Amino acid sequence: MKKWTLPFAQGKTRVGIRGTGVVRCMNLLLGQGAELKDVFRKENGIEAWISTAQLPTLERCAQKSGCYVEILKSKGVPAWKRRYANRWGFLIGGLLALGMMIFLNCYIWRIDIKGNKSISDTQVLSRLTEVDLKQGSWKTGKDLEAAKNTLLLAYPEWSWISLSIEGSTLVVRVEEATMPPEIFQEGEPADLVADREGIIHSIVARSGTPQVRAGDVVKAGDVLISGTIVIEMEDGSKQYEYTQAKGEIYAECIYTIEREQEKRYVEKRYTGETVHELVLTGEEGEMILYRPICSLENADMIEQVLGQGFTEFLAELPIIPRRSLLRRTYVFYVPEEKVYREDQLKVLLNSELQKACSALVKERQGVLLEEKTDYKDLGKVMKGVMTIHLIENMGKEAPLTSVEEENIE
Amino acid sequence: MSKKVGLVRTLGLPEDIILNVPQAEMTGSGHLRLDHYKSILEFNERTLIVSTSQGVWKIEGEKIRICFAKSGELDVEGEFTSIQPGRGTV
Repeated sequence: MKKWTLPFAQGKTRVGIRGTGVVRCMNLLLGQGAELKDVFRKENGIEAWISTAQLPTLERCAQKSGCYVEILKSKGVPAWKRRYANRWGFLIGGLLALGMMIFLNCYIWRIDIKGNKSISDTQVLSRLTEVDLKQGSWKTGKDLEAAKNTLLLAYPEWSWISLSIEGSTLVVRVEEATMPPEIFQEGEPADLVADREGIIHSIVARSGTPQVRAGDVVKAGDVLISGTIVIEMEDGSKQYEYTQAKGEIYAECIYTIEREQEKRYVEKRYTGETVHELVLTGEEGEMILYRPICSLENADMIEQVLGQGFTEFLAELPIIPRRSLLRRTYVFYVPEEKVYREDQLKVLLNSELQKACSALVKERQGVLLEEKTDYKDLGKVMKGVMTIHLIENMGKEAPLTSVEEENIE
Repeated sequence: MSKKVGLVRTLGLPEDIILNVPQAEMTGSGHLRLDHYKSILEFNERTLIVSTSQGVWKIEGEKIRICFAKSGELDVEGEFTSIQPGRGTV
């Protein structure tokens, strides 16, 4: 590093030595211990690099040999000093940047989480927030040991935790504890009954006595698996035991979905005319910076965030509340009333019904067996009716029914 | 051969240092390093003439430039056509 730092600190200057005695001047200069680099012969003289410190020597030698010196270019610290000595703004800017850097370094900007397996990063971050450790919090004076102990006491699933601050990053290392297995709690004796109407597709009883078979039609409230177990004794008598009925019952259920679609609709014919609006939004609401003087009826709005990256950067700072600058573009149109054809109506209705069907299958966690759609013309509207056959899990707990208590003593 | 030269050679001492004789080192045909010169007599794009303790050295060629120069040390580059050492006197 010394190889280039010292010449840089001393500075170097490209000089032109003009006159008749340039070679003599060069010899005098070299005789006084100066060094020349990159020496070129030019018209009526030479050009060379010389250390800035040796410029006075060069001036003396040039005077002796009847030459004159021309400074062509300067590099290094002396040149910088000469150029920026009176530029206070530059210095103040540099100092401000340095101050800002030191100030921002006093905050936690990043949280690095390691070792979590069953708990997500978001959950860990949420738990850290409880001990005032979050992005943008002041890092100086934080009692990490106390925060660590609080977390360990509050969350027994963590057997060990380490918190350390490296620069502006909070490093969290977590070791998760092995939790004891869940103790199975036998529930109160109960029946498993049908929660809706359907045809039994399959039934597997885990505990209790099955009351229906595949192919049986059940109504809501019918007992599917009874919690009463009848034990026939050798002497012909019966004994009863009661359990919580459990099992997997799948039944075919029928659902009907209806949707209507109006025949008339309004089509937007865009005119190509647009106006813009500037809005500043924040947590406290929005402030309109510029709004065009015209009616915004019959216009669609497109919203665009201006300077998103810069806004996000500012939002990271704890001292500036989150704000966004939005540009809203209003695109004008002329509304035209039209009427759908029958095939278009069917396509629209079918699309709506399919969406509803998918949502139902997802909600019921079932398997779609069959679907059928009928359309009815009701004058101003067309109605679509979809009949869906779903195979889904059935059964809910209900109090024991028809318990024979003859042998209970 | 003078007595001084004879003594230096007998003792096996480095001649270039003791006797201040010029020493040239050439790399390829375009780089010349010359030590122990006295002064530059002429310098332009085609000719470089330097004086040494053993006479005048004349270097001819094209695009001659001095890469580095300090007292007694010269580093020259160019497309050299001839190098004539020790001809004539200052």
